[in-house]
Amino acid sequence: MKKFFLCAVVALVFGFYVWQTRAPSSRVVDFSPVVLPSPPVHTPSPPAVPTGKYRDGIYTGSVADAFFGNIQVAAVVRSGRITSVNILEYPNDREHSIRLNSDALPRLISQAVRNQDAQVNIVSGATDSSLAFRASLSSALAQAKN
Amino acid sequence: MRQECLIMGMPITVEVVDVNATQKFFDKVFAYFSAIDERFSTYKPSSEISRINAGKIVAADYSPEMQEVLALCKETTLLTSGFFDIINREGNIDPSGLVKGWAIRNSAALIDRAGYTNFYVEAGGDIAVRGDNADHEPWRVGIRNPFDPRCIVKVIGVSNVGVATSGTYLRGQHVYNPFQKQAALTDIVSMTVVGPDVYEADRFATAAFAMGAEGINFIARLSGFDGYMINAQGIETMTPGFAQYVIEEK
Repeated sequence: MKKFFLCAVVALVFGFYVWQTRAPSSRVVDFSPVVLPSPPVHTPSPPAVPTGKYRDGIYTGSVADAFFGNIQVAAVVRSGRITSVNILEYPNDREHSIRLNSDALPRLISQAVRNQDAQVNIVSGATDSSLAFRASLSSALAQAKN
Repeated sequence: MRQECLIMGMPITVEVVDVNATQKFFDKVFAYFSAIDERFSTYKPSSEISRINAGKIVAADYSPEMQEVLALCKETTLLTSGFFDIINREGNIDPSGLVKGWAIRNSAALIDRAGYTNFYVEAGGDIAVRGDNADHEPWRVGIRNPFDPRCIVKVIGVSNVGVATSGTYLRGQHVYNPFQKQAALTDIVSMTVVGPDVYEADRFATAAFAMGAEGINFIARLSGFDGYMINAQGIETMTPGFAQYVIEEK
């Protein structure tokens, strides 16, 4: 029974992996670099190298009670880092329920940023909130830990 | 009529195009934000959230508003596999990443109920828009250039959506990857989300930003949401549906 269950989980995970990898890659349109006006570009310090906290693979979490209903997620880990998360189940009885696109991953459009010469009513910029995060122990990631 | 007030540590702007908006009504909208600040500000020792972090209130005694916000935070954490989280580096609860969008949404509903149909509410760069601007056109929202906040890099025309931008350029690196807390997030510098309402746009912009370059894929997967991301190299990436909002570039 245990073997059957393990095979079913592996089949589910593998099926999910196949579904993921059929998505087309993003199209990158590379325009020539833009010269931005002064002041100089803010250059952040180099990123820290990921320490490979998680084992590579796709991990399906258990169904969790999200107060409004159930949620189930799957996390994809590559090179020790979480590269994407997929929502497998989401509450349907909410006024603003979130639906997953059933299509393959849409093509993204990339190009260099350019300043616009236009009048606007409102400006959207960075949030000022002091956002803070902690490592959530969703069951998918608990399985992925080294 | 447009007014601005400094509440919750940020400028909050409300503009109502409909002609019969009164000063008293504006006062009522700003009073709502003040009440939210009194309850949720981590900078006020007397706020409910500060008293919770000081251990002075047990869960059973949380206000209904606090319970609602904390439940929404929990749901958002699960939905984003932990990339949205409200425990800060000091171990305290700080739901402000969700409260802002939630409060803007509630204030827009307040203005809806009063019968106004052309307005916006903006707080700290997150916006709820309804109807058209004073020129009878969709509201023109400019997205700030993260490398030069005096400039705009994109203009979108929007009528009944929420717009939220998460980024690093105003206060330095304050958004953390919960799975590598001590590492600075440097691969992207701005993430804008447009969605059915500002509460959803805000919480997903927050989470997507914490995911780094993969965040745009997370937004692309959410039905009804579109995203616009800028990385540290000055390359912008849009979900295909974002183009519908973009006003012709000059």
